[in-house]
Amino acid sequence: MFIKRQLAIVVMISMGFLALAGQFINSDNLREFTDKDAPQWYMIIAAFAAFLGCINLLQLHSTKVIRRKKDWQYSIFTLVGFLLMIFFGFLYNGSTVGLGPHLKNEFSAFYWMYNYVYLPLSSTMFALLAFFVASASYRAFRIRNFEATLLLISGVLLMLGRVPIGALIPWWTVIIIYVSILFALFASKIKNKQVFFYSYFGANIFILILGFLLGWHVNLPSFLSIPLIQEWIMAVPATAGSRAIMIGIALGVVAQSFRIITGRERSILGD
Amino acid sequence: MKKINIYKDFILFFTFPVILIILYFINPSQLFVTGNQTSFIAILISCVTFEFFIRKAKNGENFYMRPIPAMQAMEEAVGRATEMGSSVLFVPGISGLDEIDTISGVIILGHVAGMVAEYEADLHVPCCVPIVMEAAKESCKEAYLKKGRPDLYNDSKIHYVTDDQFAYAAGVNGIMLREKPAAVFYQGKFYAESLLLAETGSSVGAIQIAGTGSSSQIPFFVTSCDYVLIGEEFYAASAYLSGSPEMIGSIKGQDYVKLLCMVLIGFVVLVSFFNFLNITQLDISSFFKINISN
Amino acid sequence: MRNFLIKLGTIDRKFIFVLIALAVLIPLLYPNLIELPIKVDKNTKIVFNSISELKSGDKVLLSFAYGASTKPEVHPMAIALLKHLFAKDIKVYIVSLWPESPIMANQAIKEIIDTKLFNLEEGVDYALFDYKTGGFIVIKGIAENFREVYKQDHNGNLIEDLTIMDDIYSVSDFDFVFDFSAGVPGNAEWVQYACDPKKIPLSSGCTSIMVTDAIPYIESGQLKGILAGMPGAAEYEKMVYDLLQQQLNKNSNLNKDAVLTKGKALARMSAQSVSHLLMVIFIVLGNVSYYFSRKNN
Repeated sequence: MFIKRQLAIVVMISMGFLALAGQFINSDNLREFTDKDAPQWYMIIAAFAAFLGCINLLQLHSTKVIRRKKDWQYSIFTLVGFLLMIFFGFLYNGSTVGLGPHLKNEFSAFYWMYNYVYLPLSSTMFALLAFFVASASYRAFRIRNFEATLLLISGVLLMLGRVPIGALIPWWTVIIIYVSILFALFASKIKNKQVFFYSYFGANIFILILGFLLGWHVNLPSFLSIPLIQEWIMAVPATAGSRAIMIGIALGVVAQSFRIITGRERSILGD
Repeated sequence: MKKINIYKDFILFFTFPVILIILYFINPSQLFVTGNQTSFIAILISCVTFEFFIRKAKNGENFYMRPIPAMQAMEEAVGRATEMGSSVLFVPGISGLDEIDTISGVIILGHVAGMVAEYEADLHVPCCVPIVMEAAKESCKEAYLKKGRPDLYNDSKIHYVTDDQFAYAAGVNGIMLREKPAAVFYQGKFYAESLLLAETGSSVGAIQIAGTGSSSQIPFFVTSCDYVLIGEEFYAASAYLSGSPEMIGSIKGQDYVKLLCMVLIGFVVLVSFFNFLNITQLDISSFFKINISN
Repeated sequence: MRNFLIKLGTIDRKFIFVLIALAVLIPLLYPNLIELPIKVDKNTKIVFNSISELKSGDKVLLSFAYGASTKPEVHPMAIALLKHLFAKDIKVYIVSLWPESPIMANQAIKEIIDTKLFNLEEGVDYALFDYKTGGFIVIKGIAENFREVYKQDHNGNLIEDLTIMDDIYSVSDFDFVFDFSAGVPGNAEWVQYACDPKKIPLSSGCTSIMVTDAIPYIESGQLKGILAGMPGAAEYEKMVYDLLQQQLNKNSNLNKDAVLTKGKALARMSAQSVSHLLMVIFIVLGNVSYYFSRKNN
């Protein structure tokens, strides 16, 4: 019980204070420990834990296959993939260099597996994001309230502004987009449908004529260029929000770390 | 007795930090690293503030914590899983225990495991890092034991999947599509796979509660999940769930440190404005630079 | 008509997936079908100008921190940058911070050699170092003492035997650092642990999702511009292609007989443009349907 609880807390507190002290105390030995030795200890522990992970994986999936549990067929793929990579990584070479450096050699079987199996699979999973972004934005970008509308507007402008097609969108289309968004926000306030449609078309025509008179078709102002709007959104509101969240997260990390270092956060030890 | 406490508090919260700061600046025998004064003062002020409010909370003072919908929804989500006869899936992120996000995620796992034990639901925790798997097993085992239901704990349900980011996402997606959990928790460090997981969870109709310190992934979780712990709400979650005065006091202290940051930001903006108008020529950024010279 | 518009808000996901697949596949299979002019972003221009200001013989450290999944986004910018650097006779030093990165770096160098644009010699024009575990610890080590972190290059040659490594002892001995990252460790770690403390100019090429986190560093000047995802890669490829076309018969570092090809990112931009436009159309349809369904209710 002492090893599980009190000793664990003592180790947690002392390592925490040592790491903190290493940032401020001018001692080569301490800095050597915090910058090199302690991370290496962690990596050694993590490396040994990898064995545990592999054993757990083999155990779980072998049991599923042997006992024909639900969806046991998928476990065969897991086991075959795992054992195949072990074979090509540790046992079979296929290249002229020795075992070990063969992992980087382009003529080895392991490299072939990496290039023609792992690489396409990994890229495909990443590419799935494109489909999921489309379905997520279709489902979520609705003018439900003010915040959702802001999300919609910035999302659409950024999506168009980051690609070449954004630069091709003419200035009068951008004006129509602005007027449409404004009217979409106030649509619920205008009860009369006729009034709504007449004022919408009237506003569009008025601003387009104004634009021609002010020479916007010749000297495009920055607020009518989607790529420039995109740059402004990234540089100003997105940065401001990102900085605010980063400061909040940093403070959260400091508070959490303080609770852990002073031994108050013991739930991770099961207490 | 009260006078002695005030005296003790004054020494602890004022005199001791001031002496430390003076010592740091004097730097006798080059004991401290030069050029790191700003970090030292910032950390000292933060820690003193946290400690002050923790003590206040321990002495019985009640602090108001605004209700966080995501925290309140956790128990509802577990209850929903029980009613539907389905499982609860907990994804602790893809980083190791060297990331504070993962530690926070495992702490929240402990609380969720306690709720699951109480409601007699099933808990499934696929892990990306073996060492996190071990920590998760420990956390869950203790949670089940505390609730008096060690019989419900199933070791095989907390397992390792793979270290690779997208292979892990593929594995977890497969689990979601086959098991169709009623509640999915994403609590930890996530990268690009966040949307893959959240969209798949949404497609199986699960209630999803996310929490991460990765600011770039928060928008994806906000779009696809029902509840999201944004920014420091995620780190405060463990304190919120435990309800202990010490934890709540530290959150209060965090709020005051944030207030100090806001005051400093306002001050810097003001000085920059005066510099712009040529009223002053103060290089305010030099106060906040860290120039460590070894 | 109203019912049709309301139904537009409940399109099955599979239909959306099929349309997105077509929107990406057709422009990739027929790149000449849609040719869109590339407008260069301000941050890409800053990167290009920063590299253009370097002189022949300068030393640039490249950090490869991406893998197979993000190769389509980051690899084209690595190729374009390497072409730019070798065209200026700049010495290139490549370190790898992810386990897969040495393979990416090797593939990048091989692609450059296969173009036959340059006569490159390893150990003279460029040096490749293997993956070192530790993440930001490696960056800290490079900042303090490069030779303590790397004792040999990826071929096993001792660092003391490499002529290119003369006068290289820490990050301060480099004229520029460029980081290709898709996660952690990335540009934030290079800013925090190496380039900002040691005042070495740093730029980065990363996936689009990482740009929001990097923008505070760009605004504060700690990062000299950024190549943001595939659009950034396409813009940089275009700038480098135009530059090399101009210099093909004038630059002694370039082989006049070599054939210049446009990069892969440029070819993929039409696919990205069409798919983005399609997503916007879906969003508009979804909102039209939402408006009418709210009115109905």
